[in-house]
Amino acid sequence: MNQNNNHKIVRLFTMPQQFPCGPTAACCGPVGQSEEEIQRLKESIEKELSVPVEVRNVTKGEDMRDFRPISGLFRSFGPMSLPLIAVGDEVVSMGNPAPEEAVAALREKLREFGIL
Amino acid sequence: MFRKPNKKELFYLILIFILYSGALIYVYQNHLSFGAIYKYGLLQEKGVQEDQARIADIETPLSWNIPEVLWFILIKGAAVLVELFQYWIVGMLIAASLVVFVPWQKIKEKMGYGGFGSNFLATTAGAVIPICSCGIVPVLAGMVEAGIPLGPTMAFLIAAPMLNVPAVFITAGVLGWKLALGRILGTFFIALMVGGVLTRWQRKERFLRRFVKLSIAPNLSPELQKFAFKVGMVLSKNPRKLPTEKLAPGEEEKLYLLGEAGILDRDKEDLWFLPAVKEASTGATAACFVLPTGEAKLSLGKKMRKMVQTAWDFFLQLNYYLILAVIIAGAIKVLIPTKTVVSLVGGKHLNSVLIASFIAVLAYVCTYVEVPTALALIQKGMGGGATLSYLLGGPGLSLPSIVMLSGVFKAKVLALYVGLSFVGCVVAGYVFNLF
Repeated sequence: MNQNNNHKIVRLFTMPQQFPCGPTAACCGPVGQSEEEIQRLKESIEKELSVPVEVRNVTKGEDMRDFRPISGLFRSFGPMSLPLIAVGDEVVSMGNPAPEEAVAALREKLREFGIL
Repeated sequence: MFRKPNKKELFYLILIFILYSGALIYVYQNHLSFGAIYKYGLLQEKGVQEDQARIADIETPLSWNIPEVLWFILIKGAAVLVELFQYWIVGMLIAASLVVFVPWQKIKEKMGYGGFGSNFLATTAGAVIPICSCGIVPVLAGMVEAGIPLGPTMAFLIAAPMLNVPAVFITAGVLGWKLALGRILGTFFIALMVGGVLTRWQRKERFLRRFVKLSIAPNLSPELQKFAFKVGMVLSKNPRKLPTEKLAPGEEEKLYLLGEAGILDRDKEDLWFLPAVKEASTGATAACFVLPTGEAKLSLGKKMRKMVQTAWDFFLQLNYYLILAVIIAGAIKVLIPTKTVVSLVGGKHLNSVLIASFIAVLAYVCTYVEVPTALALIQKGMGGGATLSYLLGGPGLSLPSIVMLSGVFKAKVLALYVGLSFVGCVVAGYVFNLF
């Protein structure tokens, strides 16, 4: 990961919600996160931890250019690993967490980094 | 319902459509038999009866008219595709149902790495199910991804096309009980031999990605999935390879379990890493079953839908090998005429057994077709041992099925399967000649 990126930045790696098997099918969808889900998670983190949160789309090449380890994880684990939450170059959470779980994991990591 | 194929997959999909419809148009325009193309993959005049119906094909004379020969290869390959496609689709669905309905960890707990008992059971199960060597490939992929050990999987792969109840009775009725018995014993001998070696290999190496190319991850329990995410997060950092003590102290067995599921691998210095995963199963809209949340949470309806989705993904991943296989099958049909085969396999010498085994490996002989062709060869002077080798190797091994298997297995597994099966056919034929 690009070390020039601000290591204090919390990043959410997500994928726009899709319905590969159709909007009414439950077999394999929805995949990814809806705008509301992403916004809710972003707002919870920003409100609770007072840190900026950047949202990246894993399906966009330009969004992922500097984040090869994240791309690698997505390739290994697939859409079920999203949203991926990272602080700087460290992944804090994979999969769909409750906002409070994500906040708790992030708080611990930010303390470890001496940011909180 | 289905994920969108990427450009390559779309290209192969279109190619399959062209070949399939091309063969049917050819049959229609030339007033050939639709029954023959669907049942036996043959381009055959209408009204051919009895045993001839299984082997009679239109004449495709060899000449220096290269475009014409290529056209024959293509159209005969396309005819094989028409026959094969129905089994291919059924195979995909069986494979997907194995992945979706069979809990990976339970299979792992019960079967371990296999062993004589499991291999014997798998051989017996294969002997009951009548699937030809090409149709079995997707089923095999599903078995591997469902966590069934490689030994029993391979024993099943060998036994299913080589031996099945109707084929044994056809053999006994047409060629006699001695050959039918030889076929049963020969199949068990080959299947148990290959299965046994693979069981030993897998027990020693454990990691699935060292044997298998496909990348559809199995149904993990929520607990193991959580653990997989945890170690994945750690391995995404620098260094991206870590020893057990740093990655998950005291949980080496769980790490091995992920290795056996194809999620982790370990290098020569005992460092764990995430193995490269093919793009095919990780496209943005693809493979929502890459790491499902655990089979227990899905209702039957959801599982059925997921099964169809998984079958579609298998289908897209293996189409390239299907096309290659049918073209090779077409080429063999055109380039190696039956007359040549017949002139080579007469007598009772080891030489004829060797040649019969070699031809059986090369030729595409679908299950049930081997008996009438063997009868024709016997009438031309083929010896008993060579006939048995042909009966075992014809439906069991074929260049097209080997090509298809190369999409599932890595080279050393493939070499073992082909090598030991070939040797098994030769030994069985030679031993048969002693009685």
